Amino acid sequence: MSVDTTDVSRETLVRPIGTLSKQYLLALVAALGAIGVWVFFYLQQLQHGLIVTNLADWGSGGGVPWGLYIGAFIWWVGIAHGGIILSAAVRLLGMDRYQPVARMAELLTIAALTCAGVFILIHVGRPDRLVTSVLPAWPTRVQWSPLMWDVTVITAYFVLTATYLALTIRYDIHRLRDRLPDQLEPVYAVLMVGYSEREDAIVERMVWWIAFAIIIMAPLLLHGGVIPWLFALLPSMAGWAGGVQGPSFLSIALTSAVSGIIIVAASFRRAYGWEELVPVEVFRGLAKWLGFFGLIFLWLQLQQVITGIFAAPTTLQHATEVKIATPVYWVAIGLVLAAMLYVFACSLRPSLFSIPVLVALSFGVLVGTLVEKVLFVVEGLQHAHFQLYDGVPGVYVPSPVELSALLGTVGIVVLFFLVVAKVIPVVELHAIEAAHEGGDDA
Amino acid sequence: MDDEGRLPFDDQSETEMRRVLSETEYDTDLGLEMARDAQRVVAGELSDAEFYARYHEDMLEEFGQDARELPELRDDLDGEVVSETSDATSVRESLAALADREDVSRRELLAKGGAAAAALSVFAGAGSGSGGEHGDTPTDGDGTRWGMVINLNNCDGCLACVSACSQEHGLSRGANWMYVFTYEDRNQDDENFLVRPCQHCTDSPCTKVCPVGARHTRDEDGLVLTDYDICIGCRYCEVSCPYGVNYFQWGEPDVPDAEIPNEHQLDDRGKWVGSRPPEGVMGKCTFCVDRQDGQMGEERVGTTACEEACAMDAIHFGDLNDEESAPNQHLHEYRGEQENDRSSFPDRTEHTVSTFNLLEERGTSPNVHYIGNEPSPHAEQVEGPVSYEDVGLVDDRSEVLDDGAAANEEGEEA
Amino acid sequence: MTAAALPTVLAALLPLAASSGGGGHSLPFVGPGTYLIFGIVLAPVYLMVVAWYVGEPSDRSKAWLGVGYLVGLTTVLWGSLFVATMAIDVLYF
Repeated sequence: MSVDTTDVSRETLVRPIGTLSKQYLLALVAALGAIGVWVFFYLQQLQHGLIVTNLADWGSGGGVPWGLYIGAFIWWVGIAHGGIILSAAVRLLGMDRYQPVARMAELLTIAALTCAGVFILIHVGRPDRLVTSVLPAWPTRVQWSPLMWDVTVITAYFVLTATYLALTIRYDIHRLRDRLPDQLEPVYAVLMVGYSEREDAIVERMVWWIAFAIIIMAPLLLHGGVIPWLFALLPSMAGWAGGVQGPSFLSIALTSAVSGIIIVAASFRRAYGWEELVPVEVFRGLAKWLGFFGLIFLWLQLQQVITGIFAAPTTLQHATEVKIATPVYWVAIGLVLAAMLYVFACSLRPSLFSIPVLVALSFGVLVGTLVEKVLFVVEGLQHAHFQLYDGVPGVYVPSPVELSALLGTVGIVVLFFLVVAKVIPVVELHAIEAAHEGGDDA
Repeated sequence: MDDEGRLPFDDQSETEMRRVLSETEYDTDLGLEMARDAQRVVAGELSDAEFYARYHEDMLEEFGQDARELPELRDDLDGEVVSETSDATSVRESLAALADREDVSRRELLAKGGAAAAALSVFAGAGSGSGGEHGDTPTDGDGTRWGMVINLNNCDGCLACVSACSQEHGLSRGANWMYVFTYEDRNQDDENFLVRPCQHCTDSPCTKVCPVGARHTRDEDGLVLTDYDICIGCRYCEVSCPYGVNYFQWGEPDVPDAEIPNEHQLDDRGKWVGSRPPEGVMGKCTFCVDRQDGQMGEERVGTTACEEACAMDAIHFGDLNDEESAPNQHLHEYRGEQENDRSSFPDRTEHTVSTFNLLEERGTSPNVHYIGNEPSPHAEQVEGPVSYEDVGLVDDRSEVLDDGAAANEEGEEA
Repeated sequence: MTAAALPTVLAALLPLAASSGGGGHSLPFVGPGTYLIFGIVLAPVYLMVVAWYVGEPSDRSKAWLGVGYLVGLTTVLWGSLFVATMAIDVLYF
């Protein structure tokens, strides 16, 4: 396979690796600062226990045992899903237009999954037992506990995504090696173990199959499956049980993931002058997906509200009424609605389209989906079917400890991209080859 | 209790069964007879082996095969020893499971499970531990199954049970493993009480969802316990429980470990399941597992701290499978005291005692049975005759937790 | 303290350790998750691995590389989590 790319294009591709700007250092300091704030609070939590969060027992305890930690966990997993779904779709369906952002999407997936893992770790009361209790119990518990299904599938999914990245990166490193920093030679040596140009076609086929496995697992079974089942299978809480949670979770995941990819891609484009590498058409396309997924999200919210207030069982009716009486719920809906309306308006009048506006609206969508997720978890717990307790519904306001974890995980994602961008090209070589050759791979 | 009392085979139900059974190609009388005996198996009157033997040939003749999937019984008939754990309940379970499967049409059910299962399905739930409604006791197979009959009519809301439980187990403030509601309800003028320990469900959602098997049902006696050495503190049991009986140990326990002797903490299997949980681990009512294991003396086996503290004779703890146990005896006696006038009104029920299981529709098969009125969806908790504060307890635990969180934060800043 | 705790921990990690699952629970060994996880959810992964070895073009050494990544990354993931949790254990519990 010949590489028919001009030096300029390749220089563009590796531009983040060679340069070191003031903005980069600033971002690095900000990310480390955010992580530092979280670590400070988390050490307090380890010292004193989960009592430092605002969580409490539902029932006579007058609180909620699951809060922002679980809401943010679902949110990060959702962002992770959309990322790899997009990347896998590029490969499977030949959506070459999105090739420039495919690897960023994969990287976002890995970073977001890591954050989801962090939230599990800090959510449990005994993090020291996470491995020693879970692994020995796995063979006897995976058939029963939806939480074990979750652990299993997320592990599988993380491993598949990382394998996908590790295999696809070989092609690029081989061809760009002379432009990559010598100090990192040992890293590349490990990544390239046993490489020969003959393997390209074979590896291409292997990653096609990984993409295939991912595209079946991620939407149908992960964010449309085990994650919603954590809640949908429990009839004790009025707002949780029911089959609509699968589609609903998936719609939220895809909406937030596209937003995340838009933000990441726009950041790189701006930081490294990648106007030609990530052309505006990519953003127009991503915007349409954002609008479409946002529409599905809003439609499923409508379904839940209408079925919850028309003639629902007492507790579900109450839960729904409280939900629609909560102002912050409408903020969440409004943020997604705003993004959707903007995208649709741009379809009618393309001149309205602007990447900064889209990025701003994407931030809004991320906030909106996070709020919706946290509300879902908390309000579900506040409206148990057994509502005789005076303390039900209890009150819940996220504590500084919990909020710091949100800040910290955002910091982790930023740090991840800052580091990775210095080691490997965050855009596949195929992207510029495709641009020059008109797309030569299926 | 005679058969008539236990089995709801009145004319109407028999007509209904005949109708259902006659829709099939199989022998209606055989089906009815088997259904009666299947109910007796459920009620623990007839052993599984007897049931199996009694109908084996009839089944072969009628269906060409005996589809009752009871291999352990065949072993039993062959003279092999049936292990203690795979006891009679498994037959009841397989029959009941068959009868409960709503996705199977009645005709399919007949083909698969035989007429007895179909007959049982007509009465699904009638004999499966719901108890009370038809004048029976909540016995359910052999082996010990600890449980309670709580007579709410006797409760006066003094909270002695809550205090006793809290003290005996060294609970932190607000972690009321035993909890008493005072509530007002529509169409009921006076104060009502609901006494709420853990229900120690036979089909407990908490054990199903536990990712690490820390929350488990002890096979020997059906206690639902938490292995404090394994629990990771994910609180999934707490969100799956419909009753709200779980209390997480959010911070350092009020009573230090050193003050709790080992024998109260470790059960007869050597597992740490007794007394209050350590920090970061889930706790809930254990039905005083240390007492049941004889750690507080033989005379306290079959008792609980709350039962002992109750001066109103409301709480009755014991082996639900034993007709002579305290809960079953209380049920008999109380019903005897509330007999209906059947001489003038022969159609009336034997007694006027109302019993219920909490949230029975959740399908958890609780092992706590109540005498009295079930709170309606409109019931509202009110201040009781004795407040939690009066007896040195805390009702709303979030107040304690908020204090703890604030104190810690201040401590860090100071 | 660490040195003493480690063998216990390693023993507990053996899947066949008697303590697995907390013991004494009476749920049947086969549950809804058995079919869900092993029959449905992981089916695409089985298919993927089979496809790596059969069909054209394929290469046994590259297929092993892929399997190595799957196994290695799983080990690294849980191994590093184990290290992190042990550090927390030693410092705080």
